[in-house]
Amino acid sequence: MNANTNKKFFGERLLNRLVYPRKVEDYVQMFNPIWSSGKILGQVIQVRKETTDCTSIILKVNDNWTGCDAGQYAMITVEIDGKKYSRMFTISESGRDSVTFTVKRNGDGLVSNWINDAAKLDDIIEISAPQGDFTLLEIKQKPVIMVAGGSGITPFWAMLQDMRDLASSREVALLYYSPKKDDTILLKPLQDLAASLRNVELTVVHTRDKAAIDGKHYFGAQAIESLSVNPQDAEIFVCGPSSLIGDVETYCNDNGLADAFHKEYFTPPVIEVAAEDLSITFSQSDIVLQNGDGTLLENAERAGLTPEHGCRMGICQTCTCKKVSGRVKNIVTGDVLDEDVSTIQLCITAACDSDVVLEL
Amino acid sequence: MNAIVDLNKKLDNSFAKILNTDEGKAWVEEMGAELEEIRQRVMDDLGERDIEYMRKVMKWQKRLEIGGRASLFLGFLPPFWLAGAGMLSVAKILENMEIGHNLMHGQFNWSRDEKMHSDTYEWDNVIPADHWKYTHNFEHHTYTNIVGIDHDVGYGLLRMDDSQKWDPRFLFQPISSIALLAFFQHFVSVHYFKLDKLIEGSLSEEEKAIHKKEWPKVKRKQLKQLAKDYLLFPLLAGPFFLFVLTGNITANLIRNVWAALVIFCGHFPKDVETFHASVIENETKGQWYVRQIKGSANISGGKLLHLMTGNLSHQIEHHLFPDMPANRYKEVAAEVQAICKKYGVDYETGTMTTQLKSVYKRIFDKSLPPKETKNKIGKFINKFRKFEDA
Repeated sequence: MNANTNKKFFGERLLNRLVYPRKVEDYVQMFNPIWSSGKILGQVIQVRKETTDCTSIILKVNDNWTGCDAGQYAMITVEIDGKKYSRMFTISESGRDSVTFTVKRNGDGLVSNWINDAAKLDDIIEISAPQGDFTLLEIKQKPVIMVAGGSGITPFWAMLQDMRDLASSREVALLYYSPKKDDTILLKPLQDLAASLRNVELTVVHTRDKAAIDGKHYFGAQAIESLSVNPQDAEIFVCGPSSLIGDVETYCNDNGLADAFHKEYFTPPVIEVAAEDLSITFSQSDIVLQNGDGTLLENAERAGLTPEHGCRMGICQTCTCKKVSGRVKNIVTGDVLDEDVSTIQLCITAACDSDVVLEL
Repeated sequence: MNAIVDLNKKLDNSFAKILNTDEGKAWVEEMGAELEEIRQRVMDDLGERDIEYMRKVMKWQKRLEIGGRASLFLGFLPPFWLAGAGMLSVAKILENMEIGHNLMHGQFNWSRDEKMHSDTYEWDNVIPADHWKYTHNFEHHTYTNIVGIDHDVGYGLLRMDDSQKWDPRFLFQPISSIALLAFFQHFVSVHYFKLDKLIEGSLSEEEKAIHKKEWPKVKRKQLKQLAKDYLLFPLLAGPFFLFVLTGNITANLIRNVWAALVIFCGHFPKDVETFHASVIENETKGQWYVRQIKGSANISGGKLLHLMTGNLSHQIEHHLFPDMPANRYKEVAAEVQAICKKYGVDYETGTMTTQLKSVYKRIFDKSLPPKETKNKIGKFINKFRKFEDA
């Protein structure tokens, strides 16, 4: 996942022999903490408060960063009280040697709250190579409808900046849902950008504002069909809470737009409560747990185990675990996995309708 | 099992006696529970200050290393040679003891920092990390002081315990111990291959196969290390290569001797107990804890001693809690000592001089044949005398 460039600078091989068993990087980092022979490292150069709940961290990155496509995300690794934690965040701004992540508090989430409360100048953060295909790359010059909910605005902000930089004339309608005006992340920058680009229409709906326009509170056919871009002509992108994604997906399926639909989850979809008299057995730890709400990862943690994990939403493959038996469901795709002995990702799998045995 | 050990001589030591009574077994469990509580409390508290401490040590170790090697390039001037060899010695000692040994115990695995993880850390000496982790973390820490299984008892070279069978080569062990000190890193690098078993032909086919597979690892590491210190750096010094070479040899020598002496102090002082293999059958955690205390000894001293011994001055605490970050040993030492007092278990500690004197006395003592053998030799010589008289 890291941008292991594999090209060595002149003399690096010899120098590595001289510092064996360390690496040249270990010594260079005494002077330049973000120098690395293969990893993308960033140092915080600015902490920008967007709202009470949202903070952007701007990082100076090393030469292993070679840019990204607008809308992509990366896995960042931060250190909190001595321990490293990795999470995925959309790259909200990206330059030649700087990268910005705009992070909203995710409930009690450890990392998102740390970024909002404790991230400070000079902190070192590791960044993976950019990932994801939630981009405008494949869409030639087709008009685009962007539906954003809350922090889901970030990939669209990245895309719009990109369009401004490339002087793109693509027709875009951005429908942005946020609870209240004060909580609206990047509102001013978006308004400025929309004002300067004739082909971009910005519609902001404050779902908790009493003064919000009637009928446009929540997403629906009327909301999307009253935009300046016709859904039937457009590619439709949605990013935000899973309920919003669900609603947009339903609309697209109902109107023959399934092929033009693109989604990006920030939080894994909510799953239905699983039957409570199913048991989960952790065979290597000799623990049997009554199943409760949530994913197998959450259940393992409730049982007092600390399985390795990363993004907690099915992307980074850190939490893969061997399932010995039982029917389980992938909460992102809805697929039911029947195959007894298989490898699953704990964070996006939940017990389905049978007892489960995990090698954990 | 090892034929150098006379297994018919069952060790009669106090630990075996304790475990023979129900009362003894009970207080051992109680003591174990109290020790476990200390461990849990400290492990739950680990965080930024522990990582920052280790990072600080690693930073200073690199500074000393760079300073030492740079200084040696000017080694044709005696003060620079002395400073260079000195700094490089300290750098190597810190890297092997406070940093390497502790990281490879997994003391910082909780941080998930890959530069400090026992799975990937490789250290600056000829011993491959994998082999060290096997013989030290596994064998030595599990079978601590069990004669015949814990090869740290004598390193296959010295007779340190009565239950080890005597033979004439041990007469020279005060001298061979010097060789062990001087070439410690090399002796330990072949620990994994159980040379004593190889010599007597008691290796199993499985062991032989594993050793054959692992031998290239040692060769590679030896080559890389020796090339670095004895070839590449001297070459870089051009006409002054001799000063760099001697400086590097000296630094490795000092590290070897210092590390070996510290390690000897950990398990060889006179009141430290050795155990018979039978103690590990069904050994409980409490019993393991108590055996660790009885089989280890501390060195008393100040902060500098703790740093330079890689906190092996707290050998007892280290053996109780090998995966606890070593910077925490000093904090728990008072509590551990109090618990030992409460349960009447000896807590062996002394200054380095005291401990070393005791160790060397033992080396001399055990070099001599035990009483029965002395008698046999006497009788044999008498036979000769009678023959001559006739």
